[in-house]
Amino acid sequence: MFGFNKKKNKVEIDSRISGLNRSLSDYKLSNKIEENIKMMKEIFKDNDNLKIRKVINSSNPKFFCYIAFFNGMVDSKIINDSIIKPFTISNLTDKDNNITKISNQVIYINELKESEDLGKMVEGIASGDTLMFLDNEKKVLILNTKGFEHRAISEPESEKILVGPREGFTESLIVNTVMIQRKIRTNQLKIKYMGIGRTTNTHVAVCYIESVVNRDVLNELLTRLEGIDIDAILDNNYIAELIGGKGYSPFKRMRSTERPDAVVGKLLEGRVAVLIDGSPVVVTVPHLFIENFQSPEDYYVNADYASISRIIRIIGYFITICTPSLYIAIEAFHHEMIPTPLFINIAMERQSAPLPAGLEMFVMLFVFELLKETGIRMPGNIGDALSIVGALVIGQAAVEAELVAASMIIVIGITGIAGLLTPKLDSSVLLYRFLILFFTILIGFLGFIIGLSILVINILNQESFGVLQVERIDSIKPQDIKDKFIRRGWKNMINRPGYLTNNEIRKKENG
Amino acid sequence: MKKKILIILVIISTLFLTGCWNYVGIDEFTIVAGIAIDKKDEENYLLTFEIIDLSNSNKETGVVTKLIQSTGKTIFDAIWDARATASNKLYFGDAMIIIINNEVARNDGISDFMNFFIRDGEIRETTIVLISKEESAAELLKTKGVTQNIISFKIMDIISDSKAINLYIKGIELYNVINILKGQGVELVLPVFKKVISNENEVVRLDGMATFKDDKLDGFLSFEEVKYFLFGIDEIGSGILTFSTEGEDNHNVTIEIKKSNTKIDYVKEDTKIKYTLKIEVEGFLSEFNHQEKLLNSKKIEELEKIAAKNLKSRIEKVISDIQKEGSYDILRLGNLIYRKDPKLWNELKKDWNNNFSTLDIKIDCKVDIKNTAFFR
Repeated sequence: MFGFNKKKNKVEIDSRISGLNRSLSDYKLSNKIEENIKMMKEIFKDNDNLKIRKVINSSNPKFFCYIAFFNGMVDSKIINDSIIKPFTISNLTDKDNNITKISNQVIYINELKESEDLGKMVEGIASGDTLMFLDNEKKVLILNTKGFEHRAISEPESEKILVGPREGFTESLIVNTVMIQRKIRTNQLKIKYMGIGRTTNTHVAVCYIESVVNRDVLNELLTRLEGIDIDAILDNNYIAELIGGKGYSPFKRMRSTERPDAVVGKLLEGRVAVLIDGSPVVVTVPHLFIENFQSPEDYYVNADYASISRIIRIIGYFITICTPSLYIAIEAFHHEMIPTPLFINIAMERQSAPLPAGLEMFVMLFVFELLKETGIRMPGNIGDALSIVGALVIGQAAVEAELVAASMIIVIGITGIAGLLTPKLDSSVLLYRFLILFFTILIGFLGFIIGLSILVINILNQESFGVLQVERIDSIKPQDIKDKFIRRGWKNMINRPGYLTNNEIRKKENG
Repeated sequence: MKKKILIILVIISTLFLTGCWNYVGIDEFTIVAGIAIDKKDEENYLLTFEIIDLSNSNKETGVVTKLIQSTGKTIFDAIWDARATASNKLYFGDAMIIIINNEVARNDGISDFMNFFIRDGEIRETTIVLISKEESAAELLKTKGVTQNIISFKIMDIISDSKAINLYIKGIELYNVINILKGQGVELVLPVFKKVISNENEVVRLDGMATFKDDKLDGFLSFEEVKYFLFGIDEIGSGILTFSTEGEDNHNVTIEIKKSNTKIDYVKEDTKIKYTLKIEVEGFLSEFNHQEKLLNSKKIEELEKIAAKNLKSRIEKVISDIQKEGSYDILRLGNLIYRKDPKLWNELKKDWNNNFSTLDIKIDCKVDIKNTAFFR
């Protein structure tokens, strides 16, 4: 009986959506306006957002047109004031009933197209344009009336800085490109649109500065973008994963940011930016490993301070990966390394802990990841409360109940805090922290060194769009080092990084 | 391809060349802080270990120690015997001291058990070796620590801080003991500890050093003797010199030693060998009970001369005492010839220790007062 019901349901849905199965090429525009409107209704059948309105000229009631648009995606003011109003009140004769006259002399729209192509029409109306159908006319006017609601420009939550610009990208592609264009006022800035995604047909903008861009990278990027074949693109990560490169890598191959100032900085160094409609995150390529440790804020504060911050981030990355395994290596293999008072201290702590240190470390790291994940998933206030519960209650209680050694909690704490310094490297941190820990538990410090070597080799082998993520020592130039581990003052940074662009001069030598 | 396999094999073989790759949790050890060596009877050693008592140590009481004893025909035998009591592996990585009973050192010599300590991989070669003046070495471990609950660490503190707190002593590490025992023209001198009653508690106290003939204990040097002996072997780090000025106005003077440098030189005259010890001391004038408020350079020069004279006579006395008592060459004078003129050393080697008492040693002192530490 159950099965019968299921079958019946399926049949019903099938009959309802059957009309949609016809592809666009089955439809043809005709000269008769009523037929065109009927066809339009059929194409967008079951989508109640479609609005179709008949507009009649007041001086000549025989003279009329239909406009079709999607509710909510258009700016109603533009439709009322610039399409309906002029069409209604203008003095039109029968002679005027031709598309050129209407588009040139009647309606006030900044951007319009005449088209017979149904594909373009559908794409236009779906992205917020208004279609105008005229009597006895095979062509249709596609009028730009885009005006949907989007989030206001605000500071990105994930990339807050103390000083510097506070604007962040929004979900609207056009707003995002404008934010970039406002910062680079030159004809050298190029913005190229593409549609990617068979179903979503998402707009993707490739953005670069022609005079400084690395053409090899640009060509490679365009080739890879054109090669994408997927039904939907909802966020930058779809693209990053699809065109990042061959093979598996725990490291990012494209830099993503929500900050227009960061993107502009990257463009000026010769990189290419990819903006995706519907995502506030913009990716730039090629991505160098050192960028994981750089923050836009570095350029807005004192150079010395920025340099120290960068070095701390780099140290923090290795601390968060190495501390747990280092602790185990010393604790369980190389006791001679510990100073005597500390040795006795740890021995006293460990005396009461039931699990061996290695296993305990695994469990505690897992619990830490658990708390971290829960903290992120929980909405605002609950997340804070949860982390307090996790850190204080569980940590303290575990030590007092003598389930975990206090030194272990300290190690986990250091690991966790250092890990927050480099959120962009999260996946590699997680992978290598456990990998090195595993090796260390097996064979001690030797395993630690083996694991660390694998990490370093992996980092050195990373590539992004044909550019090595870590430069080879033999190809490095003194100019390139000025903005790596440290940041020199702007007076000293004369050239752009040579491996990214051919046009190196950034500023005049003595300027 | 062959190359690749070779490289992989080399890398893999390194895995088996490393030590310490077995997982042993820190809590699986019995931590030994110090070892005392006595003899139970003619045949058997009696070893006393001071171990950290982890189960009774906590934040309120601090670290508590316990003593465990074991016997065996050899040292290693006794250590294995101790495992039966401790139920855990004894961990010597943090053992600080090895105390040797003076009777054992005097009668049996110490090279027998030094052999084990230097062969064993788990004992640190920087462990300090010292002599107990008590009836048994274990007595020292049974005393009470003043600022430290762990007696072995307390003794270690006394030795390692001795330079800073102006105690004249030279701690000898395990590896140096072996070096000296095997060395040419050099004899062993080890620090000596005894126990005293202080405020109704038994505490350990430094009591000079013990001199050795080969590996057997020979005699003791008192505190005062050690001080001038250390001038002789150039091991004075800091310290003070006190003396009185001569003449009518007799005042006590104290000089704090900043730097001391001893240059030893020898000349061969016919068959006799003459040594010269040039001792140069730099110091601050730290105490001078004199009515004169201003010290001029002439006065300081005068003081320097008196200080040098004093120092010279005292060192001369200690060295002549050592020679008179028939000690072997604890001043390491023979070692100098061994290093500079091995041929000559080979001739002298045989009778060196016997001739040591008749050796002509000249001492030359110079004191330089750098600073009068005086506010005007």
